[in-house]
Amino acid sequence: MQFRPRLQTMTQYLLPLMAIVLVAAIFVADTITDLEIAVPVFYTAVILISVRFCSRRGLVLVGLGCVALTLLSDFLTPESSSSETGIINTIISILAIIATTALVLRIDSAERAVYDARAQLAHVARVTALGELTASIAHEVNQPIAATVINGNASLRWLSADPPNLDEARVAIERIVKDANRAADVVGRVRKLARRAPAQKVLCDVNSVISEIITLTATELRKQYIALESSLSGDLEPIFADPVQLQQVMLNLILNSIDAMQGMPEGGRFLFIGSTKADSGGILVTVRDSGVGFEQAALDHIFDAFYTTKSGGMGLGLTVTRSIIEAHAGRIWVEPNNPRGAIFRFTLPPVTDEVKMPRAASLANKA
Amino acid sequence: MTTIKPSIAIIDDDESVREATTGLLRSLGYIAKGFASADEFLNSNRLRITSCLIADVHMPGISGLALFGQLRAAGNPIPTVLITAYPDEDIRARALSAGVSNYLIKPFSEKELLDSIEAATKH
Repeated sequence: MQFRPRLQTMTQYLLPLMAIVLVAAIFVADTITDLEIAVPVFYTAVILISVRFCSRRGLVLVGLGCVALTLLSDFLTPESSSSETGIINTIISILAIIATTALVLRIDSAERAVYDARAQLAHVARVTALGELTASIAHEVNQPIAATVINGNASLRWLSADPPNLDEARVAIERIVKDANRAADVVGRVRKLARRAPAQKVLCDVNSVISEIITLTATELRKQYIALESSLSGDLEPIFADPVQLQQVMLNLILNSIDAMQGMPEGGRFLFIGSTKADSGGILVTVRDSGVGFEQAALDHIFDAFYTTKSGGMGLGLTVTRSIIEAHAGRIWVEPNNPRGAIFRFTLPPVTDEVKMPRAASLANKA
Repeated sequence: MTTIKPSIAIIDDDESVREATTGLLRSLGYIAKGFASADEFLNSNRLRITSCLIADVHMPGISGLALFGQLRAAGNPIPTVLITAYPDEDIRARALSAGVSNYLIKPFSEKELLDSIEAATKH
């Protein structure tokens, strides 16, 4: 999952440039001046800058390069370097460079571990959410399979009639093809959500993400006697996002609403899903239900990890939801619905010119 | 068995299953007509001539089992075969004790369906 800040054009070019200028300055200062201080210690700053744009291997090379330049300076100015202070300064500098490189590498791998753990958590949360839909997904697949078996039998009957009724047989076979595709679509939708794929931001249409999840949950909504109303604005610009993660957000919010409405009378379960342009540019998505809602005290905590108002909940769904939205530079909040229920809203920023460039986009995905 | 095949109504909100079942029964010479909901069937002119119902258990509005109960209460107990994609032992037991002819789980075989219809319409 993409929790790391994305590389921007500035860091792409400016930071390497800064690092090079700094290396040159330190090298020159170290070589031509005869100061009684360990000038090469400042190479540690170069390493700290390099961590922003270098791979782990690159960082090791930068560290080694700094050590080599330190030794080169000493080689070029033998008279000052051969003094006792000079040798001590060189040793101090090299130790500082090695220690800094090692620490930076350790911090980097710790951060990686955190990102990996978060991505795993998000995946677990996603599969758990899908698990809540197991019965209705099985139903969704079972219906077209049942229809396929029946249509197969029917086409055999039409073909073995005397004379064979080819037109009717053709109709039945066309239905088989249609139903097989329908079953495959369901499986495809589920598999896309269940897969453990690395985060990948692409230009995507928020409405089609929402529609996909509405289709996935339609059977469950019907089973729970929930009336769904959706209003998806037709003039939304595509945004730069990971479609699977956005689907996870929609799935979590819809499942949340389904749970919240379980205790409501059958005629009083309304779910509204809407998308519009946000005032700030970008997109505003609304999920509104007529469920139990939240107490004022709960409103402040519902996005916290392990905070749950459900008996069987883990308290992860909304936490993951928020971290996904935030990783997309968006914002999510909740407010009470009138007369009852909750309104979840989130915004997603518009595509900036920067990410429209394919190169920047592909670099951003590596972050 | 009579030589004139009985008229059968198929009530299922799932269009694929409804059309498929209707098609299969027509291929076997039955007069078969599909309805998307119990209400649609109740408001049709087929109510009196239908000699067997094949109804889905889970439908928006009136469920298959409720429809059977309603018809029986109105003095018109049409022999009914319930079909479902959500097998539930409680509902099955309740349905059979209420007098439903059979309870089939989707996907069911042609033989299961035909045997059930035959058993339902024999009496």
